Amino acid sequence: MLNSYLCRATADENARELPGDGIIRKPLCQLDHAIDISASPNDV
Amino acid sequence: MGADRAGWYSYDRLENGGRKSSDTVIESLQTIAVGNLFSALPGATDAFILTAFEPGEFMALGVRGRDATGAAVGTEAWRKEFDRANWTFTLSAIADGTRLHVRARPGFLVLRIPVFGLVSVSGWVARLIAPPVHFVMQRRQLNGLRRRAESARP
Repeated sequence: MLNSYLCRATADENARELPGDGIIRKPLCQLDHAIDISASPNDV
Repeated sequence: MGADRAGWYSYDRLENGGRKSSDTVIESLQTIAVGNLFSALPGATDAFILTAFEPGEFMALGVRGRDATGAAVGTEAWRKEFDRANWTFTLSAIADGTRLHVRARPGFLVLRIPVFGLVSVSGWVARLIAPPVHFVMQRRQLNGLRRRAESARP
């Protein structure tokens, strides 16, 4: 519940590489957030 | 998304010049291309630039740190110019809908301060202030996106 409220990303999400990560090899920080949406990806 | 587009779905007074973010899909904005501008604030032309995307999967926005090198838009050399910040949105299908995961990676932080102009913020200060400020705005945006997507369902 708290994770949802805070839009916390999971450990797996924090660890996975995303497109664009390679541009900044050593960022000041990495800020991950996530949310579940009851709609299909094409509708988001 | 974007201040000169449908808005940022966050705090409109701060990010959208007080104009309310759109609650409906604007068909004329549904076609995007690498190199498009998604204005951080009304009238801004430096951030954010769409550096890569795959419809229904991800969208990567960036802020150019280095001066433009003249590299062709969309090339690897062009993408490397965006080393000031990256902001990536990904969509994954889950059992009951979609997981929207967003990542922000600042390479360095520059603030515009009256009298002093552009001031580079040291790493530890940036690491101190970026997370809480970003969290407040990002959380609001994610909830704004969810509300709009779910209310648009047939």
